[in-house]
Amino acid sequence: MSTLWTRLASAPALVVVAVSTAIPLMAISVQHIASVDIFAVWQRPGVTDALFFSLWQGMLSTVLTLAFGLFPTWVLARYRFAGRSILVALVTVPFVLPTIAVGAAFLAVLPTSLHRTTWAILLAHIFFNISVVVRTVGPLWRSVDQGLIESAQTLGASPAQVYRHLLLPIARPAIISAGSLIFVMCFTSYGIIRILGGPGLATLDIEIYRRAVQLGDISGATVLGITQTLCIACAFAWWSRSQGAQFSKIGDRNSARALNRSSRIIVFLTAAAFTAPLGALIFSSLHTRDSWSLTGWKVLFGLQDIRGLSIDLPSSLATSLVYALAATAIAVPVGMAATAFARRHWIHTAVVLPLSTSPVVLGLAILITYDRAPFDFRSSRLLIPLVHAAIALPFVMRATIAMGNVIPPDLRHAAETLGASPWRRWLNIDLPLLRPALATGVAFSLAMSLGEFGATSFLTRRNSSTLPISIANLFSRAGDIPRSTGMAAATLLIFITGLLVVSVDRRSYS
Amino acid sequence: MKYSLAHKTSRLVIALTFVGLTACGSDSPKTQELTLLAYESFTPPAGAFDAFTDQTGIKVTIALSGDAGEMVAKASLTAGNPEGDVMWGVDNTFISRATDSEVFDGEPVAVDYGDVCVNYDIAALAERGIDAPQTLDDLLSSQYASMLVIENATTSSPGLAFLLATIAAFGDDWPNYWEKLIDNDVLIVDSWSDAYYTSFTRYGGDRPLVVSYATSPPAEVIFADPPMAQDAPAPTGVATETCFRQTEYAGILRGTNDPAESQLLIDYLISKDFQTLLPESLFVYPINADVELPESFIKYAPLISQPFTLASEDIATYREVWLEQWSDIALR
Repeated sequence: MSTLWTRLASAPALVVVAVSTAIPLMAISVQHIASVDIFAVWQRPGVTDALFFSLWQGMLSTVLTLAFGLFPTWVLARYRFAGRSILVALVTVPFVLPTIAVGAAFLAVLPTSLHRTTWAILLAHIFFNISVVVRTVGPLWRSVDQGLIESAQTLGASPAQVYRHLLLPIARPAIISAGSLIFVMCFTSYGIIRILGGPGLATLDIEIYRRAVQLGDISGATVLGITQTLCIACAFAWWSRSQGAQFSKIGDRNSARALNRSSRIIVFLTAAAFTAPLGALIFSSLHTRDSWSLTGWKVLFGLQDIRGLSIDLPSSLATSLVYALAATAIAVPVGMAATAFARRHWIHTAVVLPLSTSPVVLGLAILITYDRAPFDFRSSRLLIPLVHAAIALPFVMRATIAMGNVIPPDLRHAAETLGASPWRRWLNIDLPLLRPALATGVAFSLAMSLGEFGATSFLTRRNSSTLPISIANLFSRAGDIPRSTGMAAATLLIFITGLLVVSVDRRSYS
Repeated sequence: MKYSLAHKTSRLVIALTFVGLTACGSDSPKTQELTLLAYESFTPPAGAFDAFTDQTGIKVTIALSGDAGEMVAKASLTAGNPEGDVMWGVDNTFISRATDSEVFDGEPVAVDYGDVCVNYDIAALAERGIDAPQTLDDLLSSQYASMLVIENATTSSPGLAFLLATIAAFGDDWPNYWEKLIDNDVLIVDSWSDAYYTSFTRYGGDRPLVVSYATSPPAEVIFADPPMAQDAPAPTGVATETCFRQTEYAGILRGTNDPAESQLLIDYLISKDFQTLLPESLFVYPINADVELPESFIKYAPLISQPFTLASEDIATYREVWLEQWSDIALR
């Protein structure tokens, strides 16, 4: 009986993936791939370039993000200092930065010589994805017993040796997890490349958009979209093999120490790197022409009415929050249940499908799949949160798996010997120890949903607009007030996300 | 037991009858609601459809469907089984694709128009001591070297419109024009927002010329912060011989359950009541000639008497070839 229930634990996750992505992708493939010459699609100009560019910048971005990300991860995991949870929130919020605000925030602090270069893209990818490292690897390092490190040092190990022989092996599964998610994020990067990379550079995701929307070549876009999804799924399956290393030394929870000199430098640099672009954004919301002005904020909060500028902030903010909460309410329990017992790699590969699918192809696929009664979900209000949840699912699962590896097996065995059912064991032993992973899952789900633009803008929505979409609309108008109101709205989006992340972390990450 | 079974059965029968009645009932009365599909930036003022609802008793729900290109891609894919009843805002660069995929029931009607033109920052040009350009040929002059920012024609609608203006102007010789334009160090960026708000001098960039709309100057005045002096001229100007005309259409979607009501909505969309709202909310010109233009348009938006145009069938036929040729010249 219990094995049946544990087997079913991953069923909801598979249902979410199947309904949101797998079934629509199959439907659109059946309708639109059969009739085209797949090789001809690949021979069109720009297509192989886009694939090659996606691959190499994706890999390089991943390596750089991991290399730079492990420093703040270590400091945030092992040291105790004022403003720690704010710094964790600060590295998480870039996730929700709307595309056009990226331009304003990032180009303002980047030297002009780097504008519209590959370097700008790589830097932005590090900036955007560092939180994945901090939040996936951090909890593992946090749980390493300080005594273990100290005894290694007593035995004469240098910091480098401690790192290589102790810390790195412990974190390896989490680092691989984080790396694989960052790779997917960068491979499919869209807004950052369009804004920061200049017009000659295109990822496969951009090429798909161009084919489908500008050229109306749905079949071509579908072929490329399916290829992209399969490429990433294969890479993921290959990486997932190295999961499952077990580490069973739970540290005492109060091992965090006060900052020393080198960790202080890392805290300072991280804070500076993440405050500067956000500062530039706040500045643009308060500064028009050569003077300071509160007009953007006043318009945003409805304190000043501007003829011709009808944005309904309360309603788009409410929509965004409701979607984010609904997506989180789906992704977190479903994701955590799926990792509770499942050790089958294919499930971890399956859940990355929604994240790795081009939003355009996904949008079109959903449109043609759920278009007849009784499955006419095209305009259902649940559709967008469901897609958001599907996109957030791999982040929830990866964080949980990484954390799950530090749960001592003897604890589980003891519970089993005493006759606890697998579910009982999970609820009473695993879940309390998984609280940091829970916080990470909630934080990522909220941020993912609050900032998501591609799929949301592509799916048709009735009388409802999310905050990122209202921001994009403001930036499609000429004039000082639309611009400063857009900047103010982007600042507000970041502030709300930060606040949510801090309050989630307060409860369980610390 | 027997009683209970009979009781349950009778309740079931009553329930089924009720369900059946309500199911039939929902078909019989006249529809009270229509869905208007529109692009993302369709933002008429609040209450824009109240007059229509008052006249007809029909409520209008607006369904936003991505940008104009995305909306057409989706409408083509769902032709015959549409997501709404009426669609607003397919422009002449996309209308052929929509009609070729039989998106509409009958002919779509023009609802508004506007022009995509090179705009200039008056103060920035004065500072550099140069006159404003007026024609496409002017842009090749060395005094405008490194001054123009345009949008990527493969990803942006004004970018495509500007390319089409040059094709209409130079015919088969357009690639030659573009090679000279690129030699004059024109900057190509991803989107209109990117060009206008990041690279244009008025917003802190270093390019005093930008491809934008003929109605951008009135928007600059209306949305100026701090507000402009009463009779001050607009801060930006329009190069009036660089313009491509975009006309937007609305049509009844094939497969709607309510064609007659949908026609009423189309009539309303081109009525004076509704068209009066367009200039200062969407910054386009009304198609209805009876509508008086607002003061901001009369004062600050130049009339474009001879915009460039291309047949929408030609755009549909050659778009891919043109864009690939353009990419070879401009992007690689």
